[in-house]
Amino acid sequence: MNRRDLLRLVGATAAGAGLLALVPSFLRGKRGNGGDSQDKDGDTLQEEPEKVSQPERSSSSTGARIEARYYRKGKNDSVHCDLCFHRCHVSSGSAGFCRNRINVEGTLRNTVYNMPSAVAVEPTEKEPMHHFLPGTNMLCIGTASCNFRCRFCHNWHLSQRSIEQVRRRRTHTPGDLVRIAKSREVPAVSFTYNEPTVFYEYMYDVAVKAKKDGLRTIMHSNGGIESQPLQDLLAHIDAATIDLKAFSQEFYRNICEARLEPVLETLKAIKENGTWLEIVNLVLPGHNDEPAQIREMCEWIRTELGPDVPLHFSRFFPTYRMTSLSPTPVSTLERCRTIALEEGLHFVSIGNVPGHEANSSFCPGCKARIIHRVQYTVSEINLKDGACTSCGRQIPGIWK
Amino acid sequence: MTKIGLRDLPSIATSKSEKGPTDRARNQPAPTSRSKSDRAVLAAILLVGSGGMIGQLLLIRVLMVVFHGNELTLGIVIACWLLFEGAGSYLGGRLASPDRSVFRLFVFLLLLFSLALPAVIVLAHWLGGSHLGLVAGQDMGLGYVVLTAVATIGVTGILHGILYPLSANLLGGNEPASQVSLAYLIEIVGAVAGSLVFVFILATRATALSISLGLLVLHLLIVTWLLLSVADKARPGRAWLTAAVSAMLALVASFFFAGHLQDFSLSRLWPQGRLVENINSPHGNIAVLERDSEHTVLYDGRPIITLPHPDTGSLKDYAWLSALSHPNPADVLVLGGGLGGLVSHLLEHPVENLTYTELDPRLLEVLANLESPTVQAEFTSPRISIVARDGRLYLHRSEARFDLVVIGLVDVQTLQTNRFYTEEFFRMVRDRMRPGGVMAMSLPGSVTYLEGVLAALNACLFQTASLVFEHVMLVPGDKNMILASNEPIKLDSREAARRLEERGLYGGMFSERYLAYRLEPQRIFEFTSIVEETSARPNRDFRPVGFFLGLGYWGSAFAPQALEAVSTLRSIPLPWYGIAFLFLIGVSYFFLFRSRSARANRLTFTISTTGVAAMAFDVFVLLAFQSLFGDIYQLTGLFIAACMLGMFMGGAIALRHTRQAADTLTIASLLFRLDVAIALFLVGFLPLVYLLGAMMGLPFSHFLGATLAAAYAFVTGALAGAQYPLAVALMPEPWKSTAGRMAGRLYTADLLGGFAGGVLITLLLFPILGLAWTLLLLFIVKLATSVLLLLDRRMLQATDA
Ligand code: SF4
Repeated sequence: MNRRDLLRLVGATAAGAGLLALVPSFLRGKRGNGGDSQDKDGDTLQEEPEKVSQPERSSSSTGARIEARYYRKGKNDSVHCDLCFHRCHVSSGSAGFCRNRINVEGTLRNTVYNMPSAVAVEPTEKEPMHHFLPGTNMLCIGTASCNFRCRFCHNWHLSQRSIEQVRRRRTHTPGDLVRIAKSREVPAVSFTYNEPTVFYEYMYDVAVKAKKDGLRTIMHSNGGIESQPLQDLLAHIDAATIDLKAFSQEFYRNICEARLEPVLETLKAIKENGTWLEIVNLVLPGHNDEPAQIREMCEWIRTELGPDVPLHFSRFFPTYRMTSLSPTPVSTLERCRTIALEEGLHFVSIGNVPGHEANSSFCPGCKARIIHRVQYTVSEINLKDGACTSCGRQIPGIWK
Repeated sequence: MTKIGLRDLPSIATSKSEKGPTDRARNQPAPTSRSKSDRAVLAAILLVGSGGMIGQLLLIRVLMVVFHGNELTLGIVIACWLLFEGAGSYLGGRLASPDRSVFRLFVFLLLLFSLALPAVIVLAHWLGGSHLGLVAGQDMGLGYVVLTAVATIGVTGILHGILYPLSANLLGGNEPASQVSLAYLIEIVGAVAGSLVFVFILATRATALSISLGLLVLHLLIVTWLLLSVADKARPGRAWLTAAVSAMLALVASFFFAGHLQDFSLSRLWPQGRLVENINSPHGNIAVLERDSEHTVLYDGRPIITLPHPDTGSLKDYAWLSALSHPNPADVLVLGGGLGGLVSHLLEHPVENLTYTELDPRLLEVLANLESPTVQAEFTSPRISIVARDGRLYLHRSEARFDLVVIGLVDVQTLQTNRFYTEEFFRMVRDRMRPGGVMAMSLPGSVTYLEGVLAALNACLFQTASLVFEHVMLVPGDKNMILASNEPIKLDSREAARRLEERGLYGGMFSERYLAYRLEPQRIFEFTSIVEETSARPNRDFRPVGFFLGLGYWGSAFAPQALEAVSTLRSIPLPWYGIAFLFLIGVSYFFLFRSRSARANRLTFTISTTGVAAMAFDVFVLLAFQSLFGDIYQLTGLFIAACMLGMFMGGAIALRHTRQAADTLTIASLLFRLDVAIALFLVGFLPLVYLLGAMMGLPFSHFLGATLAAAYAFVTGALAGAQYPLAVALMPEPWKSTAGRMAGRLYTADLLGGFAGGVLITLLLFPILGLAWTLLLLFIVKLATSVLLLLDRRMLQATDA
């Protein structure tokens, strides 16, 4: 075969292929577009991502990309986001690190406004939040994505996806959510599941509306928010659970792709503001359980935030990308608790170990059990007007 | 027909070398004793076969622990080995040109391969620990898995691959075709022996590093023999003494060294705890890590049980909700994944008899040694019977009837575990239930999310259960739960609270508020609608869609980019696939009929599709046996050995045939007939599966089934093996005159075929298309090569005429 034969062969093949290629499109044309079967196709591994750079979704009165707050315009349609510690520089058509704020022709927009992907009633204890209306439920609200990339994230299905990848998102205005909370007879709404900072505008508006309608507001955050947006938000937030993931910059950098200092600043700001604060420390064996590090963390909490901030040491179980790390030994958690108590913290509990004595809360004065908890169940509250029924000592928290 | 056995091989080698000047005579130092050096070469090639097989099996085992193996990672590991082995043999073919000295290179690479084995085991453990951006306890993503596989099994594969064409060159003789076929056959004998020794002797008795160091010593001995066999004849005594002393030293050193090296290596892999136990059972690796008095049992690297404080929250939740779904769960069966918590929590209910099946008896031993009160109570309870057998096989043979069947906490990520979630299995469970009996299973889930692959997986299993049971209920949670029964399932918070009160268990974690939260009707309704509306095909034994989706779910956490790539592929318009297909046909036409090496290409293509078919036979025999009988680990070695033995026998007979029949047309006819036979045997697999299924009720069915499956593996191996020497004999010039190049080309084709077969069949074709369609597809492919061979024969005939 010479070169001419080869070219002829390739040409004939391509022509034949072109003709054949028309057949399926012809057949498909006959069949129609096939309805919405794509949406519910089960035997596929598809996660349905959409490209961030697609044109703006329609701005209906409900689901819309509203203009983001806390950003500055830069050169060539770029913007600087000032909402969280990442302080992203976002060029036109791109999204920030959190995936939720995109630059549309020089305007930073929030893509998750009015689009909760999860709305559910859950026990307040699940947050965990121990000194806030014990034994009640709250309406929990989450969207998608996060500004951290924790490899042990329990809620990774939502937090490590963009809102476009969550197809079954709902459309709820702040007013809708407040109505749902009222109809489910819960005393509070909680911004949780994924990091609420990345749906800041939505959280803010829901919080304002909820407060106006007599509901309490809680946020569960990683603390990576900048100080100005935090200050503005705290005016409408009653209580916050903040994850202090480790007292180590290295841990934050290597395991969460984040930084420790902004979290510490957030904790101080919440405390100074007078918003009720509780701290969660998920203990990962071999990563953040060094006694010296725990002691240093507890010392910092006592000196900077005071001894009355409840601290929860939670047991880790394998999840997301850390499925081969062993669960935290219970004795490690107990050692952490002992250190915290030695450092003078008043309310230190152990979480994710149902039935453990330190699941409950104790009076720092007389050591009597003031709230008896087993996992999310509260079976006994020994408080009267916020005071220990045994010794009368006032226990800080929001009790009614 | 004269049979050629293993004993005949040296004589073949000798007789060939007597025919005249050889490549070796030109390329290597003159041997002092021809028969002695032939024996040494023979031993070295046997070692290439056995060392390669043991090395491969060993690294697969090590990497399965490092990757916490599912079939996807297993596929990547095997693919890597075959690909790099193929690349190596291609390279070896190039290096083995007649004008080069191959002897020294062969010896050097043989040693390098044996040294590389322990080195890559340590490297694999190191990479699996907290290195290169990974932190301790973090699973490897797909990229890391590929990288680690390439750096370990890939490196050894390429070294080993080069050895085969070189060994073909080392064999004496002036008939390259004979050299190639002979080397192939000797290597197969070595591989059969290696796999049998590994599976039946070494796998459960020795650590990875002691096996690899033992292999190193064996290599040193054989290399010494090889060198001595070509050394100065005048001082044999001193040479032997030197060899014996060095081998003894190596042996003693490795004996002392192996334990320390193993400990050091594993401490890199598991820095988060102190290793107190490390056992290789026939079913997997069991390790126990201790940290702060807590023991975590790892199975193939994945934590499965923690003692003395198990994950009470989720275990009690699953156990109690399962028990509450039945008004009186007197007789309960728990299938695997239940000791160390789940069983204890079930026994808190008024259960009269609880039967627990556990496939791996060594796991029972390990748990007993931990002396945890939870496990001791489970072992000693008079209400519990522990059966050390595959749960499915137990269920098949048992006459007992149950009120509640709980499938233990296992993920649907492997074909082994998928067997407990298929329609066939659910039918088996239904037939063993008392009226009103309930089956419970736990699946990946989230209280906030049920979409994409997660929804598809849940929908697949929910709908599969719906095909068998009249009532199926989904309880959403951090792990979703599916309950199935032929009677309505009464599990709402009020009824559950009533049953708890009745059983004296109300209180603690299970309060009214907890039940109201866990059994919230709104959430159950929403999530049930999702799994009902999501279109999903049922999960079957021979179309394991659940396994495919289980892997997809794993991918959504560890390889989201790969999933995006799949979705991009799906979005390519169909016409483009048509164009690509036709382009492929065009290119194939050029290579198979128009190119200068068209004839060689046709033969190479035939060998590669035979590689696919041979892999398909292996995979299907294993899958069928696993699906039906469960226990395949010991039998894997038997089936592979039967297949390879068949290859050897088929190859030996065909080699003899090519020597006797000088007529190429006769050889071409035989090759064609063998190809048709392979195609027919592919479709013939379906009746075999039917036969195996029908045998299950018979006495000795396990033995009979294994014999039948081994016989099938043997025959199909023989058919595939016989093609190799025939194709070799038909190869045209210039390959015909260079043993190494010919070996490199055909061996590469064989391996690449095996690679394509292994990866595509296990991960895509079988789970998506199911057994019947996959076999049909392979039948069509093999039929196409048969047509190709027929045309080839006609062309040969025309040329001859
Ligand atoms: S909120 Fe998002 S876009 Fe803004 S700085 Fe943080 S990560 Fe970047």
